[in-house]
Amino acid sequence: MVEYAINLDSVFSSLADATRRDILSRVSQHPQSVGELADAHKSISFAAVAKHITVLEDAQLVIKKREGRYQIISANPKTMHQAAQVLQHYQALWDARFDALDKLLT
Amino acid sequence: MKTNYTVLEDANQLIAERSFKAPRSKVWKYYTTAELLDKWWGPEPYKAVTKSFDFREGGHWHYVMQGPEGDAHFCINNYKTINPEESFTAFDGFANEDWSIKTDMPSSDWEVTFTENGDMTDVKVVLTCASAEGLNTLIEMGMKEGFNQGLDQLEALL
Repeated sequence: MVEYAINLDSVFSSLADATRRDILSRVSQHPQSVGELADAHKSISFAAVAKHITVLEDAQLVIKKREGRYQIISANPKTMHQAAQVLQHYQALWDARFDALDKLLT
Repeated sequence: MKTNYTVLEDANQLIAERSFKAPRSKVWKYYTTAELLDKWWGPEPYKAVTKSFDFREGGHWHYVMQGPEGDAHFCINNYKTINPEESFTAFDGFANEDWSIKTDMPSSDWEVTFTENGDMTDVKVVLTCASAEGLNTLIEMGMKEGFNQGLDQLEALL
């Protein structure tokens, strides 16, 4: 049994929003300032972008660091890695189950 | 025989498909009889031990997953709809020792479909996660180079 060190619900619910998925996708390519991310989402307010970042931060999907007068957002590979492991765990579980059933049926 | 996995775009569903060389009635029986489920549900090295089984709409399956080191996990399936030998839907989750549902562990809704395909039976399991719209994103992002590099760096650190 896998121990879930991350809060999966908060990870998946924070990824349920398209804007947040886009923010995460951008910062996983390279760290960016809150201002840069706001510029990339001109259809919504700076405050709304900041709020989305906070949600991602609460889910530990991104890390916020202050560099001088900028707040730099970067992806947290540890959480992403653990979430990906959960998916792999699901697949391994079904592989094992179906293999066992296959043996019994044939 | 290989299991085929699909994550639905813009949906919180994971699909597992597998074909078995057996008649549909037999596969159905292995899926819906406690003594038979206990033989394969595992999964290795775990062993599923049924505590209570009532296969009907509104019924349940309570079982314990026993680990090789004496660890035990209480699991619960609540059956919702049943079309004999064709399909059933159920809630799947972890339970406390009093069989109340553990809300801090992942749970999902299942639709299991059995289709005759010549002398084979195709089993399709559709897992709908409570809040997993991000499943797809995670898989997509895993393929992105930047992210992979991040993971490589992480692996090196661990």
